[in-house]
Amino acid sequence: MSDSHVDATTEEEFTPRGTIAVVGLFVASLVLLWMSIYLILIARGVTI
Amino acid sequence: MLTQESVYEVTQQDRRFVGAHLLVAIAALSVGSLFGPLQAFEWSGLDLYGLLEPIGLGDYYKGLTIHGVLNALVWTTFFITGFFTLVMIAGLKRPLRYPGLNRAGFYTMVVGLVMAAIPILTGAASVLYTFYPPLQASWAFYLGLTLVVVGSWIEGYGFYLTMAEWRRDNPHTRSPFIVLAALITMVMWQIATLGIAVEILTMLLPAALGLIDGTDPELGRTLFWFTGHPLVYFWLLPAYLSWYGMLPKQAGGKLFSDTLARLAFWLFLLLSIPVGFHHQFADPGVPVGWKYIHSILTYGVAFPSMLTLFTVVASLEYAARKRGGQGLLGWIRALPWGNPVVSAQLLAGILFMFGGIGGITNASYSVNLVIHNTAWVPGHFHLTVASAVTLSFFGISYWLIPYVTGKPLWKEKWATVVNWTWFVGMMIFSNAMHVLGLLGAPRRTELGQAPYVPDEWSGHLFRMSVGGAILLVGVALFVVIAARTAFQKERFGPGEGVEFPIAVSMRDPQLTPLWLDRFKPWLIATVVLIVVAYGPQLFEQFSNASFNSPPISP
Repeated sequence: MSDSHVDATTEEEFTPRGTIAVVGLFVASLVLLWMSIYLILIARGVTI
Repeated sequence: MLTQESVYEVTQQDRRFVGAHLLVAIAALSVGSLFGPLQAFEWSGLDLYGLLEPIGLGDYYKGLTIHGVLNALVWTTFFITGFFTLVMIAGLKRPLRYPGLNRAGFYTMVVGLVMAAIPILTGAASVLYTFYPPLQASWAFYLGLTLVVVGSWIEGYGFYLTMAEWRRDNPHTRSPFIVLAALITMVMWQIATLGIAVEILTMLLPAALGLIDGTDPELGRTLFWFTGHPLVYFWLLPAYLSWYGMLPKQAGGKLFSDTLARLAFWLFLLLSIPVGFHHQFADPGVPVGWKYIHSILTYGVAFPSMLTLFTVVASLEYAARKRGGQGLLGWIRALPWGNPVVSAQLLAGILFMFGGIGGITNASYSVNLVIHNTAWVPGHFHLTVASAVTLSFFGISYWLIPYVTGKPLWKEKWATVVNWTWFVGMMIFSNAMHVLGLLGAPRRTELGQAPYVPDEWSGHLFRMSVGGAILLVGVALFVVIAARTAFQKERFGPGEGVEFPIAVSMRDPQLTPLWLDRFKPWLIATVVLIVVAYGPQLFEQFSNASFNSPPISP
């Protein structure tokens, strides 16, 4: 079966809105936790 | 288009062959896992190693080596090669092209395992699973590990030849996604293990045999991490294969995008190898510029990881909405959490999200210098190999063992208990280890004997041991379920049994671009990127190599 013979209408309609929310939560968690690590390190003061 | 409707009956002989892999894998897991909690207890002041003294296993570092080698190397490698054997046969709907070749590979792995186990158990190889020189083990340890790796290569050759035959018969059909994913994983593994092969054959084995006087630790670490980081992906990609190619069907849905799934696997092949220097940020022998390049490439690996997050979650959302799930996040409740095959992989995915956050964080140079060689690092990789991978393999086992034995899963509800026990135990354990790492607790150290442990570590050390105890309960229950399933008398009745799970893609795989189904461009790009990212440093380190570090045999 070659590509040109495939019916493109087999694709189903589905918008993964919940998935976008999950990915957004993941990215927000990543940023918050990463920043919190830096804040912990900064709170320890300067190392000379 | 491959659908679950087209059935291929895997022979009993092939099922037994896969089962043999699982038997070795789960035996290794059951022994190796006993030593994990012992380390956690020792750190919190409860030293139980003395109880093992009469059988010669009372040494902390011997126990740590057994835990690392059996759990991280043996459990994974045997499970993966067995799982992939079935993926190839059921995915291509044909027997292996040269089954004798695959059997030779398996027996080579078994011989290697026995050969490596003897020096480990007799205390002649307490060098941990990273076996950094100048630590020196018995020659049998290195040769045994080499045979395990070579055996896995041979099994991989069997897969390639089977695929080549299928391709000759199906020149214009897209390869089944799960088969392509397994082959990409094996190709990545074979390229990546060249580093460890060179390290063992040119340095560690000759030194152990007394042919050279010493080793070059810096070169050894560089060669080890050429293999060591992609080793993580050798563990992870089979779990991803299941998440992309099987879990959607098990959850009642479809794969959201065959195209994105293939793209992610190709990008893992491309990017997972030339990143090893991020394990050597504290090594003075690696110029900072090369550390920077590998750091950037490490963040590149985050891209296919995010593709995986999106595609797998979208597939699950589709399944959940088909089951009546509602709301922006409320659909998650509609997933079949009562099915242990599904819940294991869902919980593995959740734990891996934290593993991903920790991994991206510790890939940054400034944070890495703080947590390098601390408890943070094993805390992180317990969220990868011991969570995303091991918990997913538990979930796969719940259908795979019944599939190969023809016997129903023993106590299905207990399997769900295993999943949640593991999840809770690992949350407690890994969080405590991350915090201890930030506080400066060193890894690879018999901390219970250390005089410098401050009071502020005590609570976290206790939490770690509680988590370790919970994990021990979880893995013990898993081993009981696996053994009782395999060795029970009850068999599936007529018309009963387990279907090999292949998720259908929402979009016809024939619409996936041809360049995502061909190895040549991706192999060329992978080799070029490795040469660019590693070539100059390897040339310099080999040119300046000094094999003059005297061996230390712990």
